[in-house]
Amino acid sequence: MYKYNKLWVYLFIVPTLIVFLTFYFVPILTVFTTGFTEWNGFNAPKFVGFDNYKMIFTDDNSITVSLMNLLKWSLIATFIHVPFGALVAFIIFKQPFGWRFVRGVFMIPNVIAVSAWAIIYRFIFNDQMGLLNNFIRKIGFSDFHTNWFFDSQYAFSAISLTWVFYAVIVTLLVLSDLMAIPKELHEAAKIDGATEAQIHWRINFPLIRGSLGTSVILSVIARITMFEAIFLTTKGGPGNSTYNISVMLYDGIINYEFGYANAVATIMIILGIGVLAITTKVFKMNKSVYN
Amino acid sequence: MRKISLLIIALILAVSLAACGSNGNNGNSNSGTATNDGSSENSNSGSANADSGKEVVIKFPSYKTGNNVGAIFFLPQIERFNTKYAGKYKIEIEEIVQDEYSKKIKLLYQQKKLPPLIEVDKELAEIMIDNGDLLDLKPYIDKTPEIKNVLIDESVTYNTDKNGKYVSLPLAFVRPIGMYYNKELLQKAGITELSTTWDGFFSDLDKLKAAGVTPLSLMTGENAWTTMLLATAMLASEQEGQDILTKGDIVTNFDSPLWTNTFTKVQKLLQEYTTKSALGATYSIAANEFFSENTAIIANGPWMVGDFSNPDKAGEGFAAKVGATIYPGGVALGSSDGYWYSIPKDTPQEQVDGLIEYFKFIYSPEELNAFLVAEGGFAPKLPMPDADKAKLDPILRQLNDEVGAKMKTLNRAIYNVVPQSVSDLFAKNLPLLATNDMTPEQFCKAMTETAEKFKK
Repeated sequence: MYKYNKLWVYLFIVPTLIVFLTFYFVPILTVFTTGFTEWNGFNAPKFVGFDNYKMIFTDDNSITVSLMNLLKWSLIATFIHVPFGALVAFIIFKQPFGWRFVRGVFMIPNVIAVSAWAIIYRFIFNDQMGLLNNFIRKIGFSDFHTNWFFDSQYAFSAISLTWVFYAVIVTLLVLSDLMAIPKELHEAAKIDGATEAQIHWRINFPLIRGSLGTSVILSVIARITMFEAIFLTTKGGPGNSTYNISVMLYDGIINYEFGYANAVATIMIILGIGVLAITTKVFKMNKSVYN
Repeated sequence: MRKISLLIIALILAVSLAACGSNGNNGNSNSGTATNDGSSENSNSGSANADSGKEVVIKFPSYKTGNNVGAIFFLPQIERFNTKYAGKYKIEIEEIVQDEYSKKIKLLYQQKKLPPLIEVDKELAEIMIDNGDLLDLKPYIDKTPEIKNVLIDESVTYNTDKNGKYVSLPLAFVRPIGMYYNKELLQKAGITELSTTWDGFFSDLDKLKAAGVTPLSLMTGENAWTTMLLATAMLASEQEGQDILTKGDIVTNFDSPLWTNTFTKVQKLLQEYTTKSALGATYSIAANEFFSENTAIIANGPWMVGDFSNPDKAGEGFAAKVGATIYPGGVALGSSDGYWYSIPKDTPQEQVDGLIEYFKFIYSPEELNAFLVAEGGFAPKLPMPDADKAKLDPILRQLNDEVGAKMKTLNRAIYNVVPQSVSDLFAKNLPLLATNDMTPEQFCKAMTETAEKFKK
């Protein structure tokens, strides 16, 4: 009977395994192996060892700038984006007046394509006809002129603003964890005289650490792969103000350096794995919260 | 039990890998034979069609469709071809936006599924030429005096590879790129005609500014087209710059006084003589500033002229206010060098024959002149009859007259002599130049570094 069950288990795994191998494992393997080749996408790849990696790390400061920008965006994601999403979750959890409306409205940006958002933001931040500048000029600063995406002083912040407050995924993850906390725990704490703050700090936060960790992983990985919001607004400029590793990969492709681009992609994968490992450790995600 | 489990997993892995492998092989062989099969199918059907006197259908994508300004002349011309060759050849156009065209051709080339007629950029053309994937048009052109006699010699040279093959259809016409100005705004500043020297030109810009008119429509967004044209014109006014542009080799070193001086002037233009919207402006914003009479001058090609009288873009009577000229120093931009229509190597013979007929058709005196009347330019080996000249838009006529009277040199644009990565960087760094966050020296250094990075 046991053997019979195991066979079924394997049979059910087969489709997933095939999908994984076909659509993930094989492409990742291709990316990894062609990262060691010179390949223009048309002719057969030629093995060049670590030349592409040497080019990435020694030719110019693209990788340094990309990693610095990634670090800054990761910090913004971890310390502003995720906490903001969690805060909204806590507010909705209390079910104040209009919480359903807020939850619905908060969801809207997520159903709009990132590329569409990027274009909307291009108009919002436009100097002449942009919503933001017109508002600033309307409230009395009639000579105000700043082209947010094309001024090196503001471009990074402008790009950050295109995503930092759209944290509905974080909200939903945290909210589902909050709702899963047994009511008895909160009631017992109240009977014991715990304050609201103590309940949050001692009960809620430890019990939602899994969803917070997941949110950090998702948010930081989204920063590693962030492309449309940058490409459709600043293209990584002005100068290198908003340059990142995804734009670096794109630069490799348009210059017919597919080997270089895939070496960059390999670095992105490694960064993603690193984020996963570190966050899992920090948030103790491999340990059950109720132990 | 553990062994059985391992065996099953190994089996699943082997089966799925084999499946992937076989799919890949099938995919490859399919894509390989898809072209061959497709070719042979096409070829067979083509032969059968030719044998049975049936119409040969030639289908290819083009960006000169939809809202593209080129569609106005191109699509009716295709119709005229189809009418003339009805029953023998029929061209069908697949609509594609201009920005996507090169990417699509690149993708189709990777899949070995190229259409019978393509336009390739320089970088892809070089790869295809090296791989011998473009059909040699020389034997066909040599046999067709209607085409051969109108071709510009420089264009023939450019389109001839090291083995003497014609890799794309050489040009029979040149469309010089100059500047358009608003006569009323110039008058306001007391200017009747733009100066023919750069010092004089900058003095004209000062006069316009003093009269409260923003002189130039510049842009730093997209490919910074209008700004790049002025930069090219300034570069071409120096002998060294002209030599670089004439030679046409890809430039990878910009650390020289020539380039630094050019970008010092560009910086001045961006800082003193343009709209605030220029920072990050796309072409449509720059053009709109000119159409709205917020600026007095814009640099662009003759294809823009149609827009001056387009009620969707400019006000009524706007075209009458517009004048055209070339750049100071007798510089016009544009070149007969460059790749145009190419035919992939494995295209079925019937389609090749049809396309040669198409080339013959578009280079016929009636069609070529109709094209020049519609989109501007001139064909050095086919003087335009007076009847056609009379049909020319007054702005295009003025541009042609200015070219005839003032042009000393016709030059390639900077984007034709720099790698794609540098073109991208140019637009990306212009805002820094405008806001003084980058010096012209740093601007040139950054271009050199980028060019060196992807240097083959």
